[in-house]
Amino acid sequence: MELIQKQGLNEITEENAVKRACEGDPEAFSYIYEHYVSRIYSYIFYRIGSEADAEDITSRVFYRAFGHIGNYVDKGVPFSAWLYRIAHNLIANWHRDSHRRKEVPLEDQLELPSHSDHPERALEKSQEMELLLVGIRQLSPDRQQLLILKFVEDYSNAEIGDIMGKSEGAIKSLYHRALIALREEMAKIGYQSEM
Amino acid sequence: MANEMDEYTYLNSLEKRLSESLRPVRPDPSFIHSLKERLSQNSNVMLEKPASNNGLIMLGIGLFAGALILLLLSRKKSG
Repeated sequence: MELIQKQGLNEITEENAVKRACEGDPEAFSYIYEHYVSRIYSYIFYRIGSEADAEDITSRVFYRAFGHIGNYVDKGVPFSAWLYRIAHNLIANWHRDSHRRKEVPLEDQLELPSHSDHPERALEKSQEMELLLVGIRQLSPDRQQLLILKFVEDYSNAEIGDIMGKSEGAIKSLYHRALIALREEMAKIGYQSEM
Repeated sequence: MANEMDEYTYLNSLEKRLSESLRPVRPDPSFIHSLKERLSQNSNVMLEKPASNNGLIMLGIGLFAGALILLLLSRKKSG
């Protein structure tokens, strides 16, 4: 019984992982890494569209996070908010260094059509996806971040508010403006959405 | 009124397209594994370094300050 209780105390959970990582527990680092690496990678990939650069920036996010985790202050928002903020800043640096930017065909890397689609329909879908991403990448960084967190990561407005440091109301308003701006961008590139 | 309806319908349609098209992208498993290895090696170095260095520096400063005080006191007495 005592052994089970001790094991329970030693078990790393989502709640205690950050505190333990701040104290230097390598298992907690490992837990945090495995818990967040795919989401952070996915977010970065959608923002920049290159697999190699997404891997590079993901590595930097975790090196920076673990290098500075001792300075992390729990302000009552999810730990992921801190990681997304690091990613957001590194992506901004990457965009500033715009000479390195190379677009990679996205249909090779994204989970696009399901296997049940007809070939013509699958092709239509991947072209539509490319157009959507071209439109999204024309938006301001805040609007891009919001759309990716909402549709790719499936976060609620309240969670997005925590991550972006804004109120839920501000997120709703930003979301509406982002959709209108995206509609304008899509119109510029000749995209027609089915009604 | 009709324009507002059009805009509402268009935005709903765009929202539907976004939720159907955007899916999470998984990184290459070999990338996940190799980054984990690199991070764990790096965190071991980071954790070990500061404790031993800080201790030695503090000991050195303490010994130097002690010796300096003794030297000053002995000079004052003899002078």
